[in-house]
Amino acid sequence: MPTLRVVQPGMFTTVQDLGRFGFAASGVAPAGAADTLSLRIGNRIAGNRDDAAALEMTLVGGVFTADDHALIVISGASPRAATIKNAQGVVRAIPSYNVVDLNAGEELQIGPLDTGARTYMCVRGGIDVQPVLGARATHVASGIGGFNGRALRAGDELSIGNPPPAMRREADDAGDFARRHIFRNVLRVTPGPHAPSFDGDAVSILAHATYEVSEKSDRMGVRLAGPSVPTRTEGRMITEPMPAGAIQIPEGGQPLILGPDRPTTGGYPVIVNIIAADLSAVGQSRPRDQIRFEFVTIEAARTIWTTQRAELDRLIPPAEGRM
Amino acid sequence: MNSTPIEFDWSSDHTLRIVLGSEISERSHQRVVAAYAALRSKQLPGLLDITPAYTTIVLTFDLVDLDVDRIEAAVRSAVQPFGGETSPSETKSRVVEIPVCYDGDCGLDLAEVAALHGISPDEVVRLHTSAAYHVYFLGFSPGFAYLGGLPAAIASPRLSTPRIRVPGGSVGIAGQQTGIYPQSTPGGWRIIGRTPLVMFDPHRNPSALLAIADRVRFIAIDQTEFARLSRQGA
Repeated sequence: MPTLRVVQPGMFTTVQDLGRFGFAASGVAPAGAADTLSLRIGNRIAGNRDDAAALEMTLVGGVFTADDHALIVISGASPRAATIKNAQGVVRAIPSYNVVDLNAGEELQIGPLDTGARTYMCVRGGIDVQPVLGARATHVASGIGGFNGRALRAGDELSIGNPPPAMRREADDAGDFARRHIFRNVLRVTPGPHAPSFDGDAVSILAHATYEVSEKSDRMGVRLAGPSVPTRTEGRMITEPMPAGAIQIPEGGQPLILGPDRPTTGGYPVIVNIIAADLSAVGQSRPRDQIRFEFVTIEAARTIWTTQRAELDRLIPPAEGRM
Repeated sequence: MNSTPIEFDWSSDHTLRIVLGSEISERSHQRVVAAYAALRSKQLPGLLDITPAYTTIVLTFDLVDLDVDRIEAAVRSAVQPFGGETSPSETKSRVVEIPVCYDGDCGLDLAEVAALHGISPDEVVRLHTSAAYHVYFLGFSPGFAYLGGLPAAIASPRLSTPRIRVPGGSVGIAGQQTGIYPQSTPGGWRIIGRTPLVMFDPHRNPSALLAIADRVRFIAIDQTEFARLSRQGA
């Protein structure tokens, strides 16, 4: 099978799949794609199962070659420029959400992202690194999974898996789906479990303010800058498990949206939780983005998720045998 | 003794949060341990993960075909036996002995902790190794165990400036807590020793050396024994 070679890794590129579950009681975070919707779309176009591993590139993409013919799909944030240069030096632009031929000796270049934070390179057959604790996702802080538990470097070589049984597909209007479901700056939230830690003012502040995404954001969490959210308990409580999308209020009152690489437990109170359907939107938030919150009920949140998943399946059905 | 009724609620659209106590205590811990065991044996539909902590357990679900009524009924029946006045019968726990070298470079802050309390470093070691600890739960990072039972006589504040790198296996004290850094990470705990044991290895089964409800004892070893056990890849 072909080998993908990293010529330039980009700002922060890791192997990710849909994440690692079943080990939280050992302190193992799920990791996985920050924007799982884009990962699913890219994988489905390539004919992969949703949980095939891909490369997640952050803010600036990389440069890659392959030693044999490979089929690539770019999804997620659109790069300013995505090109393939052939052996003769002829450069062709490649569209997102399409299967693209990367021939032996050609160079794929993914440029900086103008909007959004993460671009996914899905490969037909998936990135074939050894699964660790059941998944290929990388958790860099603990060195678990992916390519040697770390971000990619120049010279790294990654195996591509065997072609899957499903055909490659097309997704008409994937960009439109992405605009409405992924690249949004109004994030829906449900009430958090620590109401006694917050008074009515705190919730009201969060409901009406606009927050800016801080540069100090990463896969552990998205830090927001804006009006301070007051807590009653001086910012600490008994340590408890932290769900994906939990918004903690640490000391200083600046909200922190917990991400895929978060510590599995935490001691700061959670004021609200991002709805599952908007977790990919969080994964696409970049520094300076302006974020607002909209409060919905748990029931409404589930309906939003179900509707979104049905729309995704109509846009492009999953490959047979999906997880 | 107060009986806190067991409550549960959806802390997000995909996580169910069960509350088994209102404070860190042996009683809350026993309820968590018993409920955790009961929930694991239930085979809840769509369950992705179960995460226990001091007083809470969070269940994480896949939203595909989420059957809320069935899940809530199953959870209710699983945890209700532990909601009464009487403590659940103590689950049989393993006793894990953890060899710790407190000498030289292994005990980076041992002298300071001793000075803080006006006792000798040997006395700190004696107090640390004489106690019976238990694992409240694992969390925060892979293989990190929250341990209960640190003698108050050696409780010590965190470093005012955390270290950039604490060697993996370092045994530390922070406030009333003691624990072991499974990996080399930045850290602010006061380090009094180091274990040669590998606390977490994702290629081993089980990957974490410790598990919830384990009883733990620290055993002092010298640097020669530390080196021997390190070579063994214990």
